Amino acid sequence: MHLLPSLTAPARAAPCAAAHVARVAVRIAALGALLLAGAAAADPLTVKITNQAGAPLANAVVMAIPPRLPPPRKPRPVAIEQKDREFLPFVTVVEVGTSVTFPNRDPLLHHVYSFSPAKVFEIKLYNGDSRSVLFDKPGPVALGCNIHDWMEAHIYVAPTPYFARTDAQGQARLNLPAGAYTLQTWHPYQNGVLPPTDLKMAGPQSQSLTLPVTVPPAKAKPPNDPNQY
Amino acid sequence: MTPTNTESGSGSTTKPEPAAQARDGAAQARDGTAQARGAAAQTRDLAAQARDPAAPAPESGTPLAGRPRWTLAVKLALLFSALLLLVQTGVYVASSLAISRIATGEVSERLEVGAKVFRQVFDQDRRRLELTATVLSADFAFREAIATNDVPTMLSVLSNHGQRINADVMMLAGLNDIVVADTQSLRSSVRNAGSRFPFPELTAAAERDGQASGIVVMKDGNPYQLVVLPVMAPRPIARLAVGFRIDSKLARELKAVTGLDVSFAHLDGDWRVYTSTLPQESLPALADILRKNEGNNAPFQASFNGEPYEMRVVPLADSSGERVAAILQSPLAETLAPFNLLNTTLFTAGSIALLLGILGSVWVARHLTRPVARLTLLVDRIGRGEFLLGERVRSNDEIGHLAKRFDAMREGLAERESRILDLTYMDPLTGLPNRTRLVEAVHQRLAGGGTCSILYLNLDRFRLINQTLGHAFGDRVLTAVGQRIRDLLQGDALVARAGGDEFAVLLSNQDPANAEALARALATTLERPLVIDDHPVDVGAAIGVAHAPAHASAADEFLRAADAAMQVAKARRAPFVVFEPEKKRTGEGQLSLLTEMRRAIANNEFVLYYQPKIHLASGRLSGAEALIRWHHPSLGLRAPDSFIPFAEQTGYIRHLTGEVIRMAAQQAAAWRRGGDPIEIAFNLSPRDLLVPDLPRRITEAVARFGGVISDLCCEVTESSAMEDPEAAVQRLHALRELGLTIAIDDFGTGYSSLSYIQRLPASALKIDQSFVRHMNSRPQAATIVRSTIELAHSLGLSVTAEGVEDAETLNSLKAWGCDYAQGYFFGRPMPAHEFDRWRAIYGPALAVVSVNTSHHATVATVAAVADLAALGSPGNIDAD
Repeated sequence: MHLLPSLTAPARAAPCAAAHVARVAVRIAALGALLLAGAAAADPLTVKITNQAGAPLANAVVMAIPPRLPPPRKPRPVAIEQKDREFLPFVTVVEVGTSVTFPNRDPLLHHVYSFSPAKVFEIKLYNGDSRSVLFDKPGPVALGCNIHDWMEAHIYVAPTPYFARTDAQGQARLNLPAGAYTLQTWHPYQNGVLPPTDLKMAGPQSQSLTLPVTVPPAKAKPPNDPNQY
Repeated sequence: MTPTNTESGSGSTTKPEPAAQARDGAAQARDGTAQARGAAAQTRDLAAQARDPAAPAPESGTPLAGRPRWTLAVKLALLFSALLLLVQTGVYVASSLAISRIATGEVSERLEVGAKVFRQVFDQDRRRLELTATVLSADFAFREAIATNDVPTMLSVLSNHGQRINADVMMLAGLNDIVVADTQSLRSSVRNAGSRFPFPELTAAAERDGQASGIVVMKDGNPYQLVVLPVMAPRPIARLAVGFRIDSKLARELKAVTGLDVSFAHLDGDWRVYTSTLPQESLPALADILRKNEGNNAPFQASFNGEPYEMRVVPLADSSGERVAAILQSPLAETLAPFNLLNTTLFTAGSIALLLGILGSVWVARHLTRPVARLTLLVDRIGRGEFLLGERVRSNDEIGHLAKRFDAMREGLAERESRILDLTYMDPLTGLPNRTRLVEAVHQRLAGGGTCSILYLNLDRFRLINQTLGHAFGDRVLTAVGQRIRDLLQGDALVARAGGDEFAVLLSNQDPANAEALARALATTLERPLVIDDHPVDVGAAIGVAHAPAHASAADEFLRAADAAMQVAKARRAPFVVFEPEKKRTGEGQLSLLTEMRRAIANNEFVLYYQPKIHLASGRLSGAEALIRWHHPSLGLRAPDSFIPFAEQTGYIRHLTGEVIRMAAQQAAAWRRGGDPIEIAFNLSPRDLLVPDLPRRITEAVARFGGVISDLCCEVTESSAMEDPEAAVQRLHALRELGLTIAIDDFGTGYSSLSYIQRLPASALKIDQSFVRHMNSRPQAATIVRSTIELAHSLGLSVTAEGVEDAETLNSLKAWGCDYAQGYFFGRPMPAHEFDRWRAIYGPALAVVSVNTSHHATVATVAAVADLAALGSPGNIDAD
């Protein structure tokens, strides 16, 4: 992995951030532990993300990283379907250690792969349910199908259990226990990385962020004609 | 004339016939005889023959020399040729212009197409690069190698794919634009790995558009066509560059496809042509051309390497900042070669067509004008009088029509000329050939060397017939005579009217005996009276016969000989006389004859013969006619005809007459002295009457011999006084006053009128013996004699009939009251001593017999007896 420094630049940044997050998280965790008895319920955080044009940005990942991570727990398995020769959903956020399956709902074979540093894998030509892939490192993972070039999906392996994905209105909702957090965002088409922001949760909050993105040209998708493909 | 003229050649041979028949018809209508036709035809043939030697031979003439024979042809040929030349030149020029335009278009088109093809190939290469790059960038293993940073694998994959398309460069860079792998390092010393990806513009464009292409100059200094695109997985994980070098190989490939010379130039401070399909050494020059035409994207022509080229500059790319241009060029000669060939072919074909056209037009012109030329030739020949042309100009066009008209004209001319010829050679009255024709025929006959004979014929007493019965009647007599001659003579004989009352018959290939037999037959035939309008007409003829080549070798001579013989026959009153060469000699040697006559007078060779003249009422001898005879010492007794005409012509007749007068006066005086004088009549020629001292000489002669002038009587022919009537009449009066009796001799043969006779101081008239001799056989002659007797009596003239040869005649004459008679019946002319003997018997016998016999018988008997008694002299050539 280190042989590809240019490709691993975000990865290098990630450990730095992770260390910082970890430090902050320790502090937040300590604080949260203090407040845990009193604050049985968490408060909602609403983050609205717009792009550089002010338009709501969907599929953006919003993560809140506490200074101290809560004790690990077994994350719920996640499935990313291939349906109608598309990955569903486009962006998935999972907590580190999550196993993801890629069920193929199409009547044809797919070949899912990733060359991302966070997780390199491939599931060669298969149909129906796939084996599960464990995403044990934080970071973005770009998914592709070796057969269908236009198929694209992204998994962001988050180092925190607190994360959300913006909807079509560019809004993401997180329920965060009170405490201090580092707020991070990510989008597959983002132009660079938005600096993490500190957040102190004490009651419901809302934030607005602007995340510049560059949407690449859509890849051509041939019409779904079973007789032809 | 005939519709068959132009229809077939056979018409030409039968051609003369219709014309001849038409003429014959005319001749027949004129003459009503069949002979005339033959004669006319003969005339024509002979005339044609006669003309031929003189006329130039049809082909030997020089009619072609001055004739504009080819002018029309040349005109036509020139016109056609000029038109043809014009058309051909026009076609050629138009074609050349069109070809030139097409060629120019073709050149531009070729470059245009070449440029299109060039661009297409260039684009195709680019697409090939793109395709390869796309395929490569999607290769899972390649992407895996990239993802796993497996450089050897990456290089291997790049080489492998690069080989598939013969790419010259395959280069991979990370997203940080640092080159990770490149295939150039495998084949050259160029090292790119670790350096920055050298095409930032293309990289940016590829980032933006998914892929980018352009021309770049790489480290080796060569321009490359390069395609750059990201490797997606599916997000970009690396950048891939695939490229072809723009070099001589590409130039060659492009040349193979476009057919144009391809050069590549690079602007590196200055334009430099770095590769080309052209020879290396010409590239600087090309760079110059490029510099001059920079920015010009249209085709242009430029001279290059000494040859004109059509060129075009195709800028390859400016997007990457590099300026690379392709120069496409095509040698004009190469492009224009087929057009030049076409041009040459056109020119050659046009020239050949022109030549053929000219030849054709010449042929057509000649073909068209040949009938005209032939027609001209025919017209020439017609002009020379050749009417019997064997050829025709035959064609169905206007010239043919013209030829037909000419032919009709020719026939008309031929007919008219033939008619003129007929008139020239034919006697219009009798329809017989005329003298001219006769002379020609004789000439021709003699020239041909054949034998021939001529019968020359003169009618007796024709003048009298004309005079008494009129010229119209005379003409009919001539016609009838001609007809009769023709009827007798068939075949080869040419019967011609020689003039006046003369006819001639030319007999070819007859031996002399045969000819003479024919002459006799002819004389006999003519003895028979002609019957015209129920009038019997008595015409005798004297015929002279001559044979050639025995008597003559030339036509003139021949005719003269026959004429002379005829004159002799006339004189002798013989039916015909064959020419005797000595007679010709006398005619020829007239000077010697004159000399001989002088000698004869000196030698007293001339003597007088006396013929008794009987008074019919009494039967007594009343006088004698003195007739001159020449006792030639060597030739014997010469006929008066042989010297009298000559003497008359030369004037020597005066001396002869003087001799006659002398001898007559002497004899008269002698007889008077003898006691029984009779009147002696002598003849005076017309010339004698012109001699002024004639009366004196007579007086002197009478006085010299002591005679009585009234014993003499002079006889003159009725035509004697014609020559100088006044002088003659005056002379005759003088003689009359002297006491001479004057008698008109040979009455009936001259042309004198009665009023003229009346003027003469004559007291007697002698009827010509030719009438008297035929009185019994020809009623008309009897009529003439009888009426002459009556006429003379009414004028107070006594009448003497000459030529009494039988008793019947004598009786008739007596019955008609004729006063005197003379003739063989009583006594032939005889010398004086014989006359005396005759007289001695006749006188007493008459006295005895007259007592008891009838008068008529008496005279006859006595005369016969006396005649027999008087016989003793052989000379009996009678000429009254």
